[in-house]
Amino acid sequence: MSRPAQILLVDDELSIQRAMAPLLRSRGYAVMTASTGREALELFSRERPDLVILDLGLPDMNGLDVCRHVRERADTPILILSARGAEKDKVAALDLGADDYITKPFGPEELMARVRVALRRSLGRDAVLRGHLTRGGLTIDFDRHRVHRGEDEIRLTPKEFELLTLLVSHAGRVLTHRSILKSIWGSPAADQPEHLRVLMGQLRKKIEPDPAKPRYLLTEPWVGYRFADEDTELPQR
Amino acid sequence: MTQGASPSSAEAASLSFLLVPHRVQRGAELRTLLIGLSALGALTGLYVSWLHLSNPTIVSLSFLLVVLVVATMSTRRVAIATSIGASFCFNFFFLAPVGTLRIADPQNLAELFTLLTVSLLASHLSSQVREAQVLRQAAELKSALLESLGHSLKTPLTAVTVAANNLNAASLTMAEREEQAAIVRSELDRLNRLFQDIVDMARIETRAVAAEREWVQPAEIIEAAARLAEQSCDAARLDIDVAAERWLVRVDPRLTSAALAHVLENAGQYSPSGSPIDVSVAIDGNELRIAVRDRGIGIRAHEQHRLFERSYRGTEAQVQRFGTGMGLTIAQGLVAAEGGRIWADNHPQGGAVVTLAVPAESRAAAMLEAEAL
Repeated sequence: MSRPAQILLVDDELSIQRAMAPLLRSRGYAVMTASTGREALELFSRERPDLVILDLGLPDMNGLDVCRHVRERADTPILILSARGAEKDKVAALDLGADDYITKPFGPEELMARVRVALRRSLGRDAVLRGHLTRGGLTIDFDRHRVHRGEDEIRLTPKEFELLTLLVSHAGRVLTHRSILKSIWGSPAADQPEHLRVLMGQLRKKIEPDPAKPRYLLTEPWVGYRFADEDTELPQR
Repeated sequence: MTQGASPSSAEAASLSFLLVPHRVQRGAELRTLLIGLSALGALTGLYVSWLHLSNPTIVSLSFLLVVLVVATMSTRRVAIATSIGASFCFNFFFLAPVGTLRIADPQNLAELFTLLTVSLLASHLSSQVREAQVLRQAAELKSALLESLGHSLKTPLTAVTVAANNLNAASLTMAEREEQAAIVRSELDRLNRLFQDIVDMARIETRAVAAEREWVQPAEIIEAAARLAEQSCDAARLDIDVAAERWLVRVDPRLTSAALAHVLENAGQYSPSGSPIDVSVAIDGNELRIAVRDRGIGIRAHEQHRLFERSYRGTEAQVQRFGTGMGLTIAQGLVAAEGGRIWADNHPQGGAVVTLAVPAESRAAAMLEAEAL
């Protein structure tokens, strides 16, 4: 890479800035910080960073508005910093086009994993769904719509395969219930999460070695699902 | 949030739901009112048809006695209703002209007025005493809570402060430095859990919990709870019933999983490390039941009724360091906000079983599969 990826870190808490900026720099990223929404949008227009890390609770404007403004101007990935229990805000931000979120308090490795996944999209290196993908004992053949675990073929219904493909193509990133429902069943189904829950249960039964403790298809409680990224062997929060 | 005339009465109301459920309280009120009114009726019957008594002083004094007894037993509104009943009986059956609500003699009017005033005053005074009692109990609970919190916070705060300072020392070897950093991390995890307990407790006490129901699979609730509780209950120990995927239930998944997390933590702390913890799911009528069984020493008979009390720790746990001792109380409060209940038993093969029951509509997942797939 010719230049380090640029990250814009937006948080009004100085202690968070002072702890996170050195961490990101130590992993080879260039970091600029903003404490207000206005400052963040100014910096964003001028510097065009590769990734925005955004806390939703800002003093001067709603974080969701910052999210919307960024999305209007560019397709830059946005990683939301949020508090536990604020699922509604997380879902709202994700539906506005944020890429992912991480819940405070988080550990450094969890943060770095999310940053890597988000940057992969911005640098145009998201998984291309052709050929094979092997993860653990699981092999997905996208051309022939086949899934194997070890030697055994797993038979999936078209909808199950569609769900798996959707999640794998965004590996490591959370997808909201609503966005999954829309892309598999179409807009009218967006408010019927029970269909998705049943389909996910079926898919897990087929591909997870232990469906009660999923390895590949992870639940983000009350938000959506995430296909485990290669390096997402995280301590789960 | 509770709306109240004054902050103190709002406070008493918000706490009293932990002591007495509302439905139970209303039932008790109705019962006392019925007893009071029947006592008035019985006295009237006795005086009129048996003793043929017509001395208004004796009648009004004995009615006043009934009102006072009711006032000490129940709430202000019950006492007021009884006072009005007493005045009505007195006027109708004993003051001339008998059999009407009219009053001929001004002296009788004064007597009726006195009976009504004295009985209203008495009900007011006695209910004030009762309210003060509830407030005092609440204050005692709060100071016990604060004391236990203060105690639970001191240890991790001290450890973090000392370890963070140690990290600065130039003389540390790499291994020693790592050990100090590990102390900081594990104590911070502890503080994080304590903080969550405090937030949950405050939410319950201010009644800032409203159930939001949606269709979920019990498996998802268990997964979320296991993640919340992983600090003191290793996920590898959980043996989760496959039936958890057979249904969809309509409950508040956040409240239910937060409550279940406290039960899991409790199971993790009260059983030998590494021993299995079974999580089973059942739909019983209109209820979702999630039972958590550990392999600990179980519940002793004398502990059973104290288990859900705040800051009560089982005999075994006195030696353990983690937690505030509020876990099961919080679980109970969270489940109550959904109209559910929680109880504890011993398993016939040993260990304790704590069961959460939450009112829930349910559907078999198989019914939806045809639509979904």
